[in-house]
Amino acid sequence: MSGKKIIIIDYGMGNIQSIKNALKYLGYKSKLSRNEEDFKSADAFILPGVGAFGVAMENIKKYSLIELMEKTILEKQKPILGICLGMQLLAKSSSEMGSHKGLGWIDATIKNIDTKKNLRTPHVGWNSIEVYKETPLFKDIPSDTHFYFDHSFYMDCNEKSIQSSVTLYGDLITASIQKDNIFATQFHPEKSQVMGLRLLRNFLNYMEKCNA
Amino acid sequence: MLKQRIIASLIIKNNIVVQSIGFNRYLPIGSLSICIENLNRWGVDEIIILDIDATKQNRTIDNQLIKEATKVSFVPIGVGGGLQTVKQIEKVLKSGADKVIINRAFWTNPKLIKKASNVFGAQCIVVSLDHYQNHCYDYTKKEVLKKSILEAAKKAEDLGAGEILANSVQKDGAKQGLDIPLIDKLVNTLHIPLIAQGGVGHAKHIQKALDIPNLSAVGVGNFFHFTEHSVSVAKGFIKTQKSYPIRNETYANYLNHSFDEDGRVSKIADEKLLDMWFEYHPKESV
Repeated sequence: MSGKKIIIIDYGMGNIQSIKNALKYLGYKSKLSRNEEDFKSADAFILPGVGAFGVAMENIKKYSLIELMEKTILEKQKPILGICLGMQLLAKSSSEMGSHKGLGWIDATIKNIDTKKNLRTPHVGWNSIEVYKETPLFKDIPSDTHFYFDHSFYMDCNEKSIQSSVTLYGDLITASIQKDNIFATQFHPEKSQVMGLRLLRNFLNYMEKCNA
Repeated sequence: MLKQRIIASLIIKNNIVVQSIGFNRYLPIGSLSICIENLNRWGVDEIIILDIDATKQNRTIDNQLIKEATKVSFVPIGVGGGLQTVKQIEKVLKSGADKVIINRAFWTNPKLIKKASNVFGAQCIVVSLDHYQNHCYDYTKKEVLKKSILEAAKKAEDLGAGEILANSVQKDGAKQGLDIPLIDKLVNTLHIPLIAQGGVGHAKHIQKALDIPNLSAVGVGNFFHFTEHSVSVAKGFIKTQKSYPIRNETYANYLNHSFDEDGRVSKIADEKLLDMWFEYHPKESV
């Protein structure tokens, strides 16, 4: 087990167990927390997410997590990996069941997948990605690798340069983003078998470099 | 491109995995964790766990069992068995499940689907419908209902279900292939993904189902038990015909093998085996 401290941000939602299992498999301990002390001493963060955008943001506000996260992640530049809804929360706003404001760290909006093209939603299953940007996350992960997606909304990036990979579902939709120390994936790496574990390993390696 | 999924469906009775034949005969398989570990290694796309006694015994599926099982899984897991309230669903999700499967409560408490879909998101809620040909089937009373499965599935979709799991009682365990005409109708009625299940006894049955455009997934139960590498062999067989959109990412695959009539892997020619003797295979790492 590595001594590095990984905090899974606790806002009362998300599939925590599978992320913990994956990190444990890779030899890392993780802790589910919203405690200030834990945030200050953390080496990296994971923002999980399954559920509705509005409820998630309400919870984040309720537990006064915004300031804590901004202090550690934006100012101290600790690496963070957002997963699924955890990626969408980074955007400026979402139109999921009404209009909601997000964290606003990424210049993007969350929109409904266009069903006019005879597409089924949710977009669920294994889809191949195309890697746009050689970020540390995609080391040894080529284009056409499959990851597991499960979502009805997608991230529309205003700033195209942050898109690190895309997937085809009707249109090319954002599969992952990267901006400095902020990484996020629409798919679930903890549920994407060997390639998913490899992606998590890459994130952990990046954390080791940052905190060396 | 989005791939069609091949899902392993594990039936739980008395906390062990069993095979089910026609919803009334059962054969023991063994430990859930071991089944899941193997299916993972063999490249299954998703796993469904169903406790078929839970509703009858008025309890929910054992959360401890789910916790142990999800520890060894790196593919999505759907869990069902006696789930009737939002609280119970939350517990199962916290135990490591990614989706919940609701069968009985869809009939007794349809509001639950709507409520759960709002709280956990539609992608998390799978409504399971047992059917005998076109009609729904009540497994607690073992009787065929008047209600058409097409209507029931549409209703589940309107209530906010994210996926439908259609399970044919007639085809269950018969190894004669899936109910293709009905699946075709069902796919065209729905706007959400459909998982069709019941009747796979040969990889060519999976192929036939995958020929239905827009079918999201095929559920496979008994067929994946008792054989080594069952999932990757089936995927290899499926790929011999034409380029089916399925995921094939296991380190050991059967893409360049030939198969006999029963779908079993044929022996590799002696010269090839001799060559392989000198091939270097590094250990797979993540």
